[in-house]
Amino acid sequence: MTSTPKYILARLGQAVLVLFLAFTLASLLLLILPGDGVMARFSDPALGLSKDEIAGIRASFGADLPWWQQYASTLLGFLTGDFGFSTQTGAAVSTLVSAALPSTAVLALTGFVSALVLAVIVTLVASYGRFRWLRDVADSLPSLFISVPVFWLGIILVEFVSFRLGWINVVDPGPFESLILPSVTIALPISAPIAQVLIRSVAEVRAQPYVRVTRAKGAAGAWLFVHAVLRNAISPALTIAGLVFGELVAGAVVTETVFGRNGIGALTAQAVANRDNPVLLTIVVIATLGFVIVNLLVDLLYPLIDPRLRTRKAAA
Amino acid sequence: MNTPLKNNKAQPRRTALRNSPWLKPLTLLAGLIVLIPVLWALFPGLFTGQDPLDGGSTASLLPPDAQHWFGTDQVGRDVYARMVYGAGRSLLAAIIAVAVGLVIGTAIGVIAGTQRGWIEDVLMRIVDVLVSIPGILLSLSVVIILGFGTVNVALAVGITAIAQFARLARAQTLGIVRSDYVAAAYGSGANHTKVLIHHVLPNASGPLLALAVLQLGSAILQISTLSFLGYGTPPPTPEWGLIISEGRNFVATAWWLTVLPGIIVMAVVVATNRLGSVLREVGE
Repeated sequence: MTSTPKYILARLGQAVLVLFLAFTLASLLLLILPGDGVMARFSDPALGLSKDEIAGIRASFGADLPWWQQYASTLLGFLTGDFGFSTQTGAAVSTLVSAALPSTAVLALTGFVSALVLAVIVTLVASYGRFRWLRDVADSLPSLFISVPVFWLGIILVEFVSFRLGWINVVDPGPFESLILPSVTIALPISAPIAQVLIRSVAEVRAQPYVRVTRAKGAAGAWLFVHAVLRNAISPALTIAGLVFGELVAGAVVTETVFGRNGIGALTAQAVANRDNPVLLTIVVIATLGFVIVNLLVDLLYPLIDPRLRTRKAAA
Repeated sequence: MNTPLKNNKAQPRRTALRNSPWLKPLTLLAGLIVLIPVLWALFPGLFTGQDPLDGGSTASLLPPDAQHWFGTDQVGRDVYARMVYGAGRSLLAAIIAVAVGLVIGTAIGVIAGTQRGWIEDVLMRIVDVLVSIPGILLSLSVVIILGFGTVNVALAVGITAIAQFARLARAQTLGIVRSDYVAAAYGSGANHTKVLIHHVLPNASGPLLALAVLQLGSAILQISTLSFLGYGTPPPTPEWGLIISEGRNFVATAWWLTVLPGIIVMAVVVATNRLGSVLREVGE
């Protein structure tokens, strides 16, 4: 175990490096390279801005500086929480993002939890279903779920569950009610890879001798599943955390658009439609930070969850 | 596709045929489902006599019937005809996207796997960066720079696929470069380029092609998503995501305009994924 702090430091360093490189790539691509392209909208004669006013705007966005100064000041800004200003509304990007973040965080969380629940249900039916055909159907559900266009699913759910069946009020819903359909929409494609990994690892775990021993000792049913099978099947599922995070971001962009929710996803779609590069840059960097943190946590927590990895790490 | 042929030589022909995963009923069905939109794309005129762009005097929002299989949209255009004519653009975009990922990703992976040293480090860090930016944001960043349109959307989706191809190509290359036959090739006077062309690329191509087919399904989905969001071709040009997006405004009165095109997209993606997994299975 002596090498553990070294491992943590190395992993941390790698995470910071990737984040820094991602910031560099995104800011070069979205801010520095297009440079005056971002500013082009202000020289539109319809706006009636004078040359001095345009020069003032350019200066306020830093577009008059050489590229390395722009890069350095953008980097410094990001490190201090100053993300610049929206070229569309002129509002501080930090204000826009912090206003949109809570709603998306709640949606991502409920979507993720729903995906987990759905994945466990599918896994249970596929592994323990009473009939062969039932197990086969459940087994093929993930490949179906992964192929559903999310935007289409959202539209269908609103139309049929809300308007035709009237189960959920979408016109004037409560805060909880308004989350149900978007969460289900996000959850379906995300549950697919989780269920695939769970089904495979449950099958592997069930074939292990210790499960047979536990069963012989009298354990059965839910207890056996939770304590002997699920616990050991979870660690392979953690490896796809990064994939799941990416799917959550994509799901947020699509569902917030379809359901007309405010949040980071809707902000992203608006930024692209309005060519609002500073807003998109900030969202890219924050989402990448989220991805890097999730993967870092998984890598660091992995040995805690799966004791088998501790010895391997220590030996390495 | 090579492996079943090899099997034929090794075993009696019948057993090999019966055991071939290509001949399972579900795989055949998947092949058929993929074949139909490919034929739509190549010969749209054979599958529908209707005009995808002009509804003429046809009534709008008609329900599906024998003449208009998927009904008609808000201006009386046949939605089945729009799906048939949209197949070309939507499938071509997916193929462009996968080709971008396959070619650039394979190049990065093979160079990293053969050159090693600092070149490998730099290339694989770039791949790490491409992996860590969530796919949709990476493709939207490309779209915001290049502008809207089907080809730009295809390039944007292709860039998100580079990382997976690069990692697979590098892993394959590392395995091949260490093998005895490559050592033998070098021993008998082959240079880097020869080894690359005669040994690395042919041996790595199987798994890479299987990944390419698997990526095709996800590319169709991503492209239809971006086209739904309005970043693809502007109307009235038919494109699968756009057709669903147009139908959406009438989902309350004419649900089939949204539901049926969505089922087509889903079926094609399921079928493509199925063929991709069979291809990967056969390779292993």
